[in-house]
Amino acid sequence: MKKGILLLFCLIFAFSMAGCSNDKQGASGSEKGGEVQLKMWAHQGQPKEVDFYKKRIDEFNKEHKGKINVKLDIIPSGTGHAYEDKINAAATSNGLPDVLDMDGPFVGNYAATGILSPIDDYVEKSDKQDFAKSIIQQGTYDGKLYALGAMESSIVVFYNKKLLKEAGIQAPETLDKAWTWDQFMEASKKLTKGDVRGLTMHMDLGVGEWLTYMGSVFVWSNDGLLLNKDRTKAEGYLNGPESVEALNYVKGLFKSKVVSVSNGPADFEEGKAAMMIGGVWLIPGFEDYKNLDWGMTYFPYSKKKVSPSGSWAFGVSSQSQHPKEAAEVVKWMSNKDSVVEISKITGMPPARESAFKEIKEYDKLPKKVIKDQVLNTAKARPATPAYPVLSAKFAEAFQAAALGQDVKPELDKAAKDTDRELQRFKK
Amino acid sequence: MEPITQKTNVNNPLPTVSPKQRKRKNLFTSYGFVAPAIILLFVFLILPAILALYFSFTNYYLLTPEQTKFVAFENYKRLAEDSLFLKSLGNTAIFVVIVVPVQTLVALALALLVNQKLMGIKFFRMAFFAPVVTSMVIVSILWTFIYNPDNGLANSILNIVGLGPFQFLTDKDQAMYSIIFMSIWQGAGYQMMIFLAGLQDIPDHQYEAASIDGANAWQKLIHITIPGIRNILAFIAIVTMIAATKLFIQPFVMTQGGPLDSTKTLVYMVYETGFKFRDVGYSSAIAILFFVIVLIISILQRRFIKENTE
Repeated sequence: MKKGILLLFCLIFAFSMAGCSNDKQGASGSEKGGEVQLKMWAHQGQPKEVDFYKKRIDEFNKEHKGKINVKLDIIPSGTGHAYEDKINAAATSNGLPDVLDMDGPFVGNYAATGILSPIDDYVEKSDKQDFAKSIIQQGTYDGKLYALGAMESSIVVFYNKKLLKEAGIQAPETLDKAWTWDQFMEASKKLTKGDVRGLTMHMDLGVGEWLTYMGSVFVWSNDGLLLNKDRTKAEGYLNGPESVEALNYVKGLFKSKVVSVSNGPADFEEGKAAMMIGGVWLIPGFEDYKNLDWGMTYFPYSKKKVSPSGSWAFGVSSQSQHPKEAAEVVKWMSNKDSVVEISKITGMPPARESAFKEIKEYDKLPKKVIKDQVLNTAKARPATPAYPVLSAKFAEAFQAAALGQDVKPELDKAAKDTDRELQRFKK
Repeated sequence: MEPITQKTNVNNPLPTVSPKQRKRKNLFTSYGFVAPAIILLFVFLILPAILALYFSFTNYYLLTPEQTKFVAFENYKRLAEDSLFLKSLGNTAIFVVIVVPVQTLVALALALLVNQKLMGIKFFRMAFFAPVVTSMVIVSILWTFIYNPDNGLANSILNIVGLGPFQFLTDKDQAMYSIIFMSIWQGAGYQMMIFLAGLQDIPDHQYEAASIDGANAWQKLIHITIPGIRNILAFIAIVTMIAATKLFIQPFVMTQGGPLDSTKTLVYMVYETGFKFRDVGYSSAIAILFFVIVLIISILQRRFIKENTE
C-alpha cells in the first residue's frame, strides 16, 4: 500500500516535470526517417470546410510521401475568440504548429509580433498575381507577404423571393443598379409586416468579428475610414463625421424596427425575415430549408460601392524549424486545385482570378453578385497590429448604435482605445 | 483481513525503532503527504500570483514577451483613469450585493421546504440540486434561449400573467438582473444542501419542547432553527461572496460583457484585456487590484461574523 502511494507520487512528479520542460520536438517540426513531420492547425469552420481541409491534407501527404508528413488538428473556434486564445497561449509557450490557419485581419497583429514568418521567398511572383488583390492585401504586412488563403469571402444581401414579390419589390441584378442606403431602408420598411421583419443582420453572433466585418463596410461606403492611410491614427477617422453618419444610418434601421437586436440565428431561413445581410458561407446551409426560395443582391451603398473582404488564410509560424516545407503546405492549400475545390464545396468565392473562370456558376445570378463584389468592390480590413482592440471596440460601438445609443461618444471611446494600442507598436 | 493484521501487530511490535528515529520518520511521512498539495498550490496558485504582481509593473504584451519593459506604476495610473474599470467594479458590486443575501435566503427557504418528512421529498431535493451539477456553460446557453425577447420561454410565461415583453439580455438595464436571477436559480441548490445538513443536525427534542411550551412555527424558526445553523450561515455567506465576485462564465457566454458594458465584470475585464487584447501587464494590474478588494471584504466579513457568532 505504502509503496503504491510512493509510486503514485513519483508518477505525478514525473508528469509534472514533463509538463514543465520545453518540449521543442513536440512544439514544432521534427524528422522521422528522412520524412519531415509538420503540425498544422485549422479552425473549425462549417463542417464541409473541415472535411475539405482533412481531405486536402491527406492528398498532400500521399503526394509528398517520404518527404513531408502533415498532421492536421482541427481547433474549435466557437463564436468568440477561442481559436485566437489558443494561438496566443501556444505562441507564449513555444507550442505553435508549423502551419496555422488564421482570420485575415489578424495577420497584421501576428506578423508585427513575430509569430509568423514571411513567405515571399517561397511564392513565385507570377503565382502571386493570380490571387485576388484583396487576398494579397490581407496577407501583407509592412511590405512582406505572410499568408495566403484559398477562399475569399463576402457579405451580400440575401432575400426571400416570395416575400419580395408579395411586396412588389425588385432587387437589383447588376452592380450599377445596386440599392443606395435610402432605397435599402425603403425596401426593408415595406417588407416589415406582422411577424415578419424586413431584415436580419445576425446580431445573434455576439459582439465579435462579425460586427466589424459587416459594420466597417457602412463606414467605407460613406467615404470614411477606420484608420488613416498609413494606419497610424484612429482619432478623426474612426470617430470622424463619415463614420458617425454611417453608424447613425445603422441606428436608424434598428430604430424603425425593420431589424432587431434579438433576431434568432435562422430567422431568414425560416421566413421570419425577408432579407438578410449575411456572409456567403451561409449558402450551403440553405439546402436544409426546402421551402426557402432565395436570391442575392449587392451590399447597399452610400457614396462609394464597397464590399467586405477577407477570409481565413494559412501562414508559417516563426517557431517552425522547417519553414520551407511548411510553405509548401501553405502553397498546396492555396493552389488552383484547392481554390477551385474549396469554392465548389463551401460556396465561398475562390481566392484566385483564374479559378473564377473555371467555375461557371459565377457567371450568372445569383453567384454573379459575389464575383462582381470580389473583383470590383472588395476592401480588406486594415492590416494593423492594433487590430484586436480596433475590432472589439468598433464592434461595441456598432452594437451601441443598434441599441439606440448616441453614436459619437461610443466612437470617440473606440478611437481613444485604438490610438493607445497603436502607440504600443510605434518604434 | 482484520484479525490477521492485529495478529502481526501483536507478534511484531515497533520498539526496534528509537523515539528519535520515529520522530524523524513521522516528519518525513507528514511532509510527504502534504508535498503534492503544496507543490500544486505553489505552481498553480502562488507562483502565478507572484508573477501577476510582477507583470502588473511591466508592459508585457502576450505575443512579444521578449520586449517586456518595466514601467513602474504606469498600469495603475491608467487604471485610476479607466472608466470601464469603475463600471466593471460597479457591475460586480451589484451582482455581489444582490446575490449573496438573496441566494442565501432562497437556499434557506428551499432547505426548510425539503426538510419536511413527506412522500417523494427526495425528488424535490434532487430537482432543486440538479442545476448545480449541470455545467454553467450549458445552463448559460439554455437561459440565453429562455431570455430571447421575441420567442423565449420567459416572455411567453410572463405574457400569460400579463407582464412584459421584456428585452432581458439585450437591454442594458435588464441584462445584469437577468444574469442575477439565473445565477441564483443555478447556485441556490448547493447552499440548500449544506443548510439541509445543518437543519438535520438540530435535535428534534428542542422542537418538541418548544411545541409543549406553545411556540408557533415562526417562533421555532427564529429561536431554534436560525441559532442552530448560525455557523453554517456564516460559512455560506463567505463562500457565496467569494464565488459571486468571480462572476465570469455567465457574461462570457451570454452577453460578452454587453450590451454597453452593462455586464462587464472585473474577471471578464481581466480576461478580455489579457487574452483578447493581449495586454498582460494591464490585465495583471486589474487582477491585483481585484485581489486586494476581495481580500479586504473577506477580512471585514470574517471579523463581522466572528463578533456575531461567538
